[in-house]
Amino acid sequence: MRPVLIAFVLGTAAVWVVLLVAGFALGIAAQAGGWSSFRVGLGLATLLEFTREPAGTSTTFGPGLALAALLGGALNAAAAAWLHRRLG
Amino acid sequence: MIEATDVIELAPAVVMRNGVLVDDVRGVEVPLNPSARVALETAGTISDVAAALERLGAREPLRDAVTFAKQLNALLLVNVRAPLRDRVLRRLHALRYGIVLQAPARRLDVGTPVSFVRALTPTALAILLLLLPPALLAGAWVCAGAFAAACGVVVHEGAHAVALRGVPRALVFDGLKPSILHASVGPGRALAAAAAGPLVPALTAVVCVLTWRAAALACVPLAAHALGLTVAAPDGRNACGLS
Repeated sequence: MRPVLIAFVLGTAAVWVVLLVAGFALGIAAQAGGWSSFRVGLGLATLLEFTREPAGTSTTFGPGLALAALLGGALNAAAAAWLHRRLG
Repeated sequence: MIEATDVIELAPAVVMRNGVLVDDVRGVEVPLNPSARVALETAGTISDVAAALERLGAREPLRDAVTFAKQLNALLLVNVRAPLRDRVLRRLHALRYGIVLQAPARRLDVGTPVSFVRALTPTALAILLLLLPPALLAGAWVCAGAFAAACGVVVHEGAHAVALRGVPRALVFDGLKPSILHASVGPGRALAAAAAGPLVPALTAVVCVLTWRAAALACVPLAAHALGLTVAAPDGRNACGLS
């Protein structure tokens, strides 16, 4: 149980960090590149929303970030459980 | 990639005591047979070791000496040294036939932060040289990202080393890929030591991005270290006790 729990926590943290920094980088690239407003997400779960307005631009993270992080953690935990079974 | 002119020597923190090879970092003892003892007492090149084995009656002394060096090198008990020019020529020669040679593992003693950084400098420089040409075309922030990627390796391994403070440890290079060899530790310490490497550069990236948003592009290579926390990477598996 311990390896699976650790894998879930570490996997969640890993996906959260990567998506957060990549999201900000995407926002900066969009701002510099003069891109119009866009949204990244699945259904209602918005991961990131870039908005361009006359006053400036904004990058907002939605609940999709937390969901994606938890999904990443769950996948990592599943992989850890499989490895744990294989190692005996 | 080991040849007759290469020099074989005991790795740092490995000593021979009463006919037994003792690894002070891992706390393991490897008993030696008389031939192995003679081979290790013959400090010098593989040819010198082969000559010593021939005097003991070996039928294929050079092949035995190379096999012996390969086996002990794979166990990280001996280092095999060859001049840089020879190594480059051997690689180029093998490449002509489509063979990519694997360099022998190198184990280094890194007692001080300065020696630690110096040992990792070739790896950091190799990453920088690889990334800098395309980064130069992409702009200043991507160049900063290439520097961050190079520095990230030093921060990553440094974090492992700091988390293992007080535990005997050595830096090991498989080619240019670094890792830390250390004595066996408890599960809590193993988790901390394994997670510290990917976590410190990744959290540095998060702090950097939250305080200076314009630097986000440069922080991506540091954030990518977080992927090392997953079980797809050795650090993630070590953290979960799956190795």
